[in-house]
Amino acid sequence: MTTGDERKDAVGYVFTAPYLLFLLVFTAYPLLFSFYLVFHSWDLITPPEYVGLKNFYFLLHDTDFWQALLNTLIFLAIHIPAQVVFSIMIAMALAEKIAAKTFFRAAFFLPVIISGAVVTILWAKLYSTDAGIFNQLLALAGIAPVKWLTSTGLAMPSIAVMATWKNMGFYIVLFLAGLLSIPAHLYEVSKIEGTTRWQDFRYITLPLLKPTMLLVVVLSTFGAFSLFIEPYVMTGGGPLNSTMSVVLYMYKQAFLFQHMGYAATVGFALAAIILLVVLVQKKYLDSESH
Amino acid sequence: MAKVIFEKVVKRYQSNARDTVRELSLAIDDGEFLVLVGPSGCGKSTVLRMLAGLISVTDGKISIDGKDITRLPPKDRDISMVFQNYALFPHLDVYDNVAFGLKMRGAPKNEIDDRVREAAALLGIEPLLHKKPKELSGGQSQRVAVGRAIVRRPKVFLFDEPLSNLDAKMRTQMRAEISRLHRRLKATAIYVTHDQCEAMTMADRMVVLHDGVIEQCGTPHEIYSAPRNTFVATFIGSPPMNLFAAEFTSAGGAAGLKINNLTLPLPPQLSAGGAARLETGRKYTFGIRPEHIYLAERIFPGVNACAPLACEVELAESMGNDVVLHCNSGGLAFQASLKHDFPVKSGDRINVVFALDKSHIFGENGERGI
Amino acid sequence: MKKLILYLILVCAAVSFIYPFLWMAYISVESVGDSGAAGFLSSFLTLGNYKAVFREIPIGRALLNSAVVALSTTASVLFFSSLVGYALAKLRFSGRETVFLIVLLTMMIPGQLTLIPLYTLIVKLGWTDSYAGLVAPWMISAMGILIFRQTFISIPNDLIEAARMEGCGELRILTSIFWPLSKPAMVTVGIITFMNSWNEVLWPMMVVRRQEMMTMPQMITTFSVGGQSGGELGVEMAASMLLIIPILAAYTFFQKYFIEGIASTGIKG
Repeated sequence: MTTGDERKDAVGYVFTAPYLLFLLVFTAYPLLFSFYLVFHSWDLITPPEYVGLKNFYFLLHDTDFWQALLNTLIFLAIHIPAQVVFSIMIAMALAEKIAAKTFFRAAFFLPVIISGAVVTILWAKLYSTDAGIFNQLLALAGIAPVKWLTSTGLAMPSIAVMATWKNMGFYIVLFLAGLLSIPAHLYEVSKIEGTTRWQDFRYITLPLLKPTMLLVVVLSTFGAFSLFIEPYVMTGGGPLNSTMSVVLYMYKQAFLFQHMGYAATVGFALAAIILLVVLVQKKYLDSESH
Repeated sequence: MAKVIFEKVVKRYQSNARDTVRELSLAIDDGEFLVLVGPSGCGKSTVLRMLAGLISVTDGKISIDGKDITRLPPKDRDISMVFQNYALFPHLDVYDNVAFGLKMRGAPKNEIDDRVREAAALLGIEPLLHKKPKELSGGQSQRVAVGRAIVRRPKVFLFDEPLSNLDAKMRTQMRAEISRLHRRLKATAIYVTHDQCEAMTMADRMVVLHDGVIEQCGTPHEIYSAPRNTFVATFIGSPPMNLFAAEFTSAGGAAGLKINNLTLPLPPQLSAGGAARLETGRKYTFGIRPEHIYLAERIFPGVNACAPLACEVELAESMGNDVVLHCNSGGLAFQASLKHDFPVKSGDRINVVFALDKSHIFGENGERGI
Repeated sequence: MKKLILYLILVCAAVSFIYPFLWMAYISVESVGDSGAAGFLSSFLTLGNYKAVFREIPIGRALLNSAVVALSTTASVLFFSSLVGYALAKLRFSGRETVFLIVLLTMMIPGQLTLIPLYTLIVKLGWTDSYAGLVAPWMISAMGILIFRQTFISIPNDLIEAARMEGCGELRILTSIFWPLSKPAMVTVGIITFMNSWNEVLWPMMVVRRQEMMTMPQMITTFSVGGQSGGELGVEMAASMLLIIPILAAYTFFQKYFIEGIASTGIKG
């Protein structure tokens, strides 16, 4: 009935109170308000107008939105396989007994810590049709310049390549941790059984990397759905909306056209799609490992 | 001056659970070294932590020098504590660990320095002052923990099983050191342990706790020589007291105690008139400590011994200076502790006697009969 | 032979990861008028491009803004997240498990869902074009709370009890015992928060319009995209260098914390 535990009680409430207040204002309120916004049309200046399901109806028929979603899927289709294959390759090289391991790891990780804005500005120069290094290298081989960012077919893949490059260090470290957690004696067993290196990889390494793989796929999916600064800087979403990402589209709806209600609806739909995709991935990858 | 008083103190952890400490009342005198001893789960640490203010008191009152401290936070109780795992702050060196409490209370820098050096000198830890806790041995860590406790000169010192993480040799050494320190500081100290040997050697007064209740409180000698009940009788003393179910008989005019098919004469402290309090046919418990059982042929003069009892030595355990014999006499099993110069081996047949003047009689409820 | 191929792969990869930054650094100090020819030697090195950045855009102010925003966000996240982490790890109060559950749940909300409503909230509060608008929504991080809770749980209760006996209040226990004992966690959370805040570009682009309130990434993005750079490659690269130098400096000293921290929390820049 006194001191001790109860005194601690009170302190517990005091310590968590700022967080609960913060949560109320910056998480709970926006969350609830998003449910309000999706049923309204609002330009931030005149009072919001109730529009019922109009925003959703419009979304379903908004070809630009679906284009943006399709672009994200194209991005994912290139980004995830490239990410997984190259990250595993480099991680396996790093898992061997080699010199200067720390240096290599630090070098691969470098782009991860650099602002996406800088990486994008930098790569826009590298991709430049007249003076970029890629076209200069092609010129050395006698190949005509390629329009990396200005052709509808190549722009999104170019962005995907850059994003893969930027985040690879992160995934290398994840795979490296996964590889190092595989017990060495499993490979000793296979050595006695006389398996080939490929069989080792296919039947030991790969299955045991499944959890890491799931993590990598889920995290890069999250990343892909938040694609914003890359198309914003490099292409502005063009050419012909071919690099328009959903977040960039949401941003444009909100800040170019002041369609707050509709932008919130886009965000709402995007969040639903993210959860759906991640659930599907989890289910697929989980069931495959069993 | 620090007199600590517990008045009907209760601790209940969950509202519907059994009380961990049940209406405990206890007065500890100024300058006394009181040891709380009992098996694990008896509530001894709970009592200490309630006094420290680390856990709340469910009901009752605790006071120090007449001041009710039941509801005060630990820092306002003028108490310090030495923990079982030393609880030294790993990021601070020895000096800062010892100085910690004084700093928290905003003592002037030069006073802190004087007091820390004084405490360090007292404990012989001056060479360690700038080492981190992880560089210290167990004994050194414990000295630092004691240093942190004494530097504030609190009214009451608490020790929560402080020696249980030390090896046997270090434990004996630290035991003596803490006793010496206490004689020097003359502060009230309350010491919790499950080790009856520590309790016996260190205590001015000891309290035997069991199931949240005080079984007995007294000097080590009182508790050893006159245990109030069978729990205390078997908990204090090693090997433990032998207890036999006994029946009072007065068949054939001679009053005696019937144990199995053996009849012992009444112990002298009972025969003088205490016998009147024993009833024929009722159940009693007869207790005799292993060290009060002698070989019949080596009996000391003046011992009030019973008739020799033939028994078989099932096992002889040598303890160095003593040998403990596990004996069996016609189904009656008991342990006897003899000086090592008796050449007894397992399997030997010997004759022993019980020193009746050192025996104990307990009533049916386990309480002392006389 | 096998080793040779291994090193060949690693060296090629390392070059491809480092080269663009070296090129950027090189262009930023190359004398104006000679830029554009990626990777070819020039005989003149100059700070002219950096001077031009300071002349053409208020980059000094942007650096200050970024520093204020990133440092105050980091300080706030460290303080408040450790406060909650301590309560969740070591204090007993009814509702504790509920708070913990809420922390876990908030981590599952995709940011895209609350982005627009959060922006409208900032507008309503009148916090656009202000430090408050840039910092307030990111003052406490659920990830930080989890890391601190995890770290604090393993600190023995004895130390708390000893500190209480020695006269510490709970806040004192947190700041003078738990903080120093959790340096790796403090550094990890601090670095990740600082880096994310320093590199963040979308949120500033939403709440800040006035040039003098822009943070570095926003400033160089508008500079580059808005055509203010007038196509001067060297100047653009110099501005970018100014943005990455603080992070690079921190990376050289705390490389281990960057890599392990980011990998273990799954947050990337």
